Amino acid sequence: MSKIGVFICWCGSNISETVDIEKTKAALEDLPALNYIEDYQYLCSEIGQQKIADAIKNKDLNGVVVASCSPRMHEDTFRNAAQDAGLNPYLLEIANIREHCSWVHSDREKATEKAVALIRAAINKVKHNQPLTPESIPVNKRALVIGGGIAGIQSAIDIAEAGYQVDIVERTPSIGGKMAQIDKTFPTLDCSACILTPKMVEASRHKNIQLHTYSEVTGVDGYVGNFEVEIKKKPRSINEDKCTGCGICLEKCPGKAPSEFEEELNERNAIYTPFPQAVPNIPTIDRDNCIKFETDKCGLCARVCPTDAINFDQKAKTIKEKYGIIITATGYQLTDPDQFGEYYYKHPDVITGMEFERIINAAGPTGGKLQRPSNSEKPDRVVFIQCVGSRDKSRGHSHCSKICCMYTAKQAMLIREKYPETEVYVFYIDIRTAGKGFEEFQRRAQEDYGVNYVKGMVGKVFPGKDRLTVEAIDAMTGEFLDLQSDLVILAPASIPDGNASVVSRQLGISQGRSGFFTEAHPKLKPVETQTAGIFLAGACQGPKDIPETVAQASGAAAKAIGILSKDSLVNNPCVAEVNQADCSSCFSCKEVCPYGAIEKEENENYGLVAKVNEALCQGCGACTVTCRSSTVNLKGFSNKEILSEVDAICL
Amino acid sequence: MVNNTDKARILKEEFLEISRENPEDCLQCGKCSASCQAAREMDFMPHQLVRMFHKNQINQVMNTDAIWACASCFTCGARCPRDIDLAKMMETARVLYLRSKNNNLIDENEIAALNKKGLPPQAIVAGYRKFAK
Amino acid sequence: MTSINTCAKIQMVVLCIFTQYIAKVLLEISALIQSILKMEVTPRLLGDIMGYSFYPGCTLKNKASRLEISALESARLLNKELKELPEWQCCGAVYPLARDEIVTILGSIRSLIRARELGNKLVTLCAACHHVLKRSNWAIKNKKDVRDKTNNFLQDESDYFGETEVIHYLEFLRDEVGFDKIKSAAQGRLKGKRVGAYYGCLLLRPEKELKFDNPEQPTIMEDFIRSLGGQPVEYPFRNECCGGYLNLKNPESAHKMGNRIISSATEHSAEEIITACPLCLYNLNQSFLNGNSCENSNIKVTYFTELLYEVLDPTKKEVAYG
Repeated sequence: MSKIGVFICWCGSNISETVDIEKTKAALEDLPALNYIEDYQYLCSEIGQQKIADAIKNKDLNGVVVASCSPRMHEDTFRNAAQDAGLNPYLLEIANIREHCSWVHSDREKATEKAVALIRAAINKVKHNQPLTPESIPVNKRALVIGGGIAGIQSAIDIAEAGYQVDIVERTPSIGGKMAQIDKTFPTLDCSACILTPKMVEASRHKNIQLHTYSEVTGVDGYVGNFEVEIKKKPRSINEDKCTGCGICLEKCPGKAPSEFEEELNERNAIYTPFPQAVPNIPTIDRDNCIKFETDKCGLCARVCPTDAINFDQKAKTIKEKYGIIITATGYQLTDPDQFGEYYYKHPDVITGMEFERIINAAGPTGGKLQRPSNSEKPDRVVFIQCVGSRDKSRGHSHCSKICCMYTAKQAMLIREKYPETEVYVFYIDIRTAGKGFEEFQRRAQEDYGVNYVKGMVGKVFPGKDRLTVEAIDAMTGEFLDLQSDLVILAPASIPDGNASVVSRQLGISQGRSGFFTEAHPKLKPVETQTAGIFLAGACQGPKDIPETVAQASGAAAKAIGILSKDSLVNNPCVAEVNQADCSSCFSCKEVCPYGAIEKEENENYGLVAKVNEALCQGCGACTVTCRSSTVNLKGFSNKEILSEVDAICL
Repeated sequence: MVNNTDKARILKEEFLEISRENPEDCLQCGKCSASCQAAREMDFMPHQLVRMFHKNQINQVMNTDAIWACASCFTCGARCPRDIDLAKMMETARVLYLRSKNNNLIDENEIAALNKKGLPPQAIVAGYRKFAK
Repeated sequence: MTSINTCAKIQMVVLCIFTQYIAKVLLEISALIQSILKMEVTPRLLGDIMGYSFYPGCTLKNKASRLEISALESARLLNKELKELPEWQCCGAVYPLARDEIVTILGSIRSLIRARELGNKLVTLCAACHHVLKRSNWAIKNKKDVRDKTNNFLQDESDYFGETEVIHYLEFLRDEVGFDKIKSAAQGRLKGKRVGAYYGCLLLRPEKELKFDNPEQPTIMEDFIRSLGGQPVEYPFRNECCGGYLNLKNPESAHKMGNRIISSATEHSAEEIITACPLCLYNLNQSFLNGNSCENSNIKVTYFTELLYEVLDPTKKEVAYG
C-alpha cells in the first residue's frame, strides 16, 4: 500500500511565479497513492527539511516526492533528511519543476499543467522504487604517483608524511623533471636545482616512499581503493644493490649519444647519470648507443667497476602492485618550433627557452657562458620571440602557455645582469604576469635592466652569412625593426608530455583540447578526474608554474589522503543488476560497458551468465539498453520505474 | 569608437559578404605587418588596416595608398596565428574602391607601353584584373 | 625403307624444333603474365599509360617561350609525353579573391573541364597558372556556392566537381618522372654549381589549397638542383615576394623587393637563381638594372627548365626562342 508524501517548493518566487502552486495541489489531491501534500517557500532550508522529516514520521510515509529544483542541487539534501527520519533515501524522488518547468516557460497555465504531469510521473516512479543499500569497498592504503617531477615529488611527500606508503614511477633514470633543467626560478631567482634537490633527497630517503625510476606503467586495472597496476622496470644493466655511485664507469665509457638533459646541446656517454644530483645516483646504460650491446666489444665499465655491479644480462622486470589511489603527474613538454619554419629553428643560433636554460646554467654545456651555438662567440644582440605556437588557431595551439612571459622576463634579466653590453629585445603580443609578485618582476626587466620590450610579432628570421636578421615591427608606433641579431630565443607552447595519451588510455581518464587531462570540474574540482580515485597534479592538467604546481600537488595529496584514511568506501547503489535466470549469455552488455564492470560468471543453475561488478559500475545504463531480453536493470531506474513515469505523463 | 552610422554599417556588411573574413578575430600581434615585404611602402600597416576594418572604417581603408601597394603574395595570411586571410580583405577594399569610383587605375595606353617594355602577358592581364574593373 | 626413315627423322626433328619453339613462347607469355601480376600500379605507370595534358598559359606562348620549349624538350628527353590541351583558355593570371566574382574563374574552369574529357593529369608550368587552376579547383571542390554558381553559368558544359588533377611541372618531375631518373640522366653535369632556388609566392601559398610544399621551408627545388648535380643554396629570401604585378604601378617598390632577394642569394654565394614564374624572372632581372646592392653581382636568373634542358642535352647550348 503506497503512502506517498508530496512536498512542493515555491523556491521563493522562482517556481511560484510561473507555476500556480494551489492549482497544482488541487490537481493532485485526488490521487489514491497520495497520503499527504504540503507546500513551502524554501524546502531546502532547515525548516523545510524538518517538515519532510516530521511528515515521514507522523504520517508513516513509505515514499516521498519533492517537487523543487534540479536533483543536482538538493537530491542529497533531501535524501539525507529522509534517512534521518528513518526512510530509505532511495524511496525519495525529485520532480524538477524549476529547471525543467518554471525557468523555461512563461505561460502560467501550461506551466502548471506540466508541473502536475512531472509530479504525477515522480509519484508513479516512487510507487515502484525499492529500498537500496550502498555497498562498502575496502581501501588499499597505498598510493601510486605516475611521474617524478616536482608535482609527483610533492604529492608523494605529503602522502608519505600522513603515514601512507607511496610509490613514484618515473620514466627517466632520475626524478626531478623539468625543474632540474631550469637554471633559476621566477620570481625569486632562486637556483632551481638548489631548491629542488632537498625535496628529491627527502623523497628518496623517506621510509614511506619507494622510487621506481627508469620504469613505466604498462597496465592499470581495478577501481578506487583497489587499483591493480603493472609496472615495467626497464633494465639499467646495473645491479642496484651493489652500485655505490662512485662514478668511475662514467669517466671511461667511449659510447656517445646526444644528452636529453642538456637538450641535445652536447653529448653524454652510453653509461650515464642524467645530471650530477640525480636521484637515485645509480648510472644507467643506454643500450641503443652502447658499443657492448651493438657489437659485443668494449665492456670497459664492467672491468673498472670496483663492486662488480655492471650486469649486461639484466632483463626488464614486470611487477604487479596494488594501490588505493593514483595521482598522475606526467608533466609537460615544449612544442616543436620546426612547425613554424619562418623562425628558422634549424639554424644553430635559434634556440628554445629550455635550451637557453641549459646554456646559462653553470653546470651546463658551456659552463654558464652565454655564447652562440654556431661559433661560441658572445652575442651582442639577443632577440626573444614569445607565443611560438601559443594563442595560435592556425598551426599551433589556441591556449596561452602561461609561463612564457615570466620565464622570458627572467631569462632577459639574467642576460642583462651578466652581460650589460648585450642588447636584449623581447617581442610579444601581450604580457601576462598574473601571479604574486609577477607584475613587479616583469617591470624590473624593463625599468631596471633595460630590456627592450616591443609589442609586435616577428615576421621571419633571416639567417645571413654571420648574423641573423630579425624582421619585426613595433605595432604601437608603426615602425619597422630590422634587427641584426646573434641569438634568437623562442618561447614554444607548453603541451602535455608525449606519453600523456598512453597514460590517459591506461587509466581511462580523458584528455581535453591540446591533450591536457580533463579535471572533474574546471572550477570546483581541479585535481580530480571523472574516474574515482585518480587525481591530477601539475602541468599535465594545464600549463602552470612551480608555485601552482606545488599547491595543486598538495591538493591532490589531500584528496588522496581523504580516501586512504578510510578503511572502506561507500559506493553509489544505483548500479546495474542482472536477472541471471533470464540472461541469454550473449554478453552484449559486457561489450558496451565503458567501465569494464561486467564479468562472465559460472552460475550452477544458469550456466555462464553476466554479472555486474558493483564497485566498478557507474550506473550509466548502456547495458540496460543493449540487453535484448531486458534482463539487465539499473537499480533505482528499472524499466518498470521509468515506464511508469511515461504512463503518468501520457495516459 | 566603432563607427555605427548606417552608411558605415552597410559598407561593413558588404565587406563581410565579399571577403568572408572576420576582422574581430585579430589579436593585433602585428605578424602580418612584420612579414609583409611591401609594407614599408604603405601609409598604414596591414594590422592597422585590420583594426580599421573591425571598427567599420571601410571607407577610410578604401582611400589609403596601402591597399594599392599590396602585391597579393599571401604571406600575411600564411603566418597569421588567427587564420585571417588578410589578402582577401585587401582585395575587398580594392574591389569596393574600383566599383564605387567607376574609375579604373589603368588604361589601354598604359598597357601598350608596358607591353613594349617587355612585361610578360601574365603581368598585363594581372594588372587589368587588379587595377581595373 | 631409308627414305621412310629419313622422312620420319626429318619429321621428328621438325616436331622437336616446333615443340621447343612453342614451349619457349609459352614460357615467355607466362613470364610476361607474372611480371604484369607483380607490377605495382604506380603513378608513373599510370602516367606512362595515359599520358599527360599540358596547360601552357598565354605567357609561355610569347614572352616566356624559353620556359615552354625547354620544358617540352626536357620531357621528351625523359621519355614522357606532354600533350598540349586543345582548347585551353587564359586562366586569368590572378585568382579572384572577392567571393562574389564568379565570371573571372570561368576561363580556368572551362580549361579544367576540357582536361577532364581527356581523363589524365594536367601539368602546368607557369607558377601563376598553377596557382589559379589549383585554387579554382579547390573552390569548386570545397565551396558549395562557388560550385553551384559556376555550374549554373556554364550551362553548356556538364557539371564540374573538381575531377581534374592539376600538378606543377616540378611535381611532375618529382612524382611522375622521379628525381632518381633525372639524376641518372643528368650524370652530375652541373658539377656542384651553386644554384639558388627562387620559389616566389604563387607556387607555395596558400598551402591548404595548393599543397605544393612546406611554404616556409620548401625542399622540392633544392632536391631538383641536387638531382642535376648542382649544390643547392638555401637563402632565406627564396620564398619572399618579388613584387609581382606591382611593377606595373609601383616599380620602385617592386625593385626594392627584388633587390632584397638577389642580395640574399648573393650573400649566400649563389651563382645562379632558377625560378618557375615569368613575372618573377622579369622582376628579378629588373632589380639588376635598378638596384644598388646587386649591380656588382654576377648572378644569372633563369627558368628551372632551362637548367634542366641544359643538363639533359649539353650539346644544345641555346634554345631557339620564338
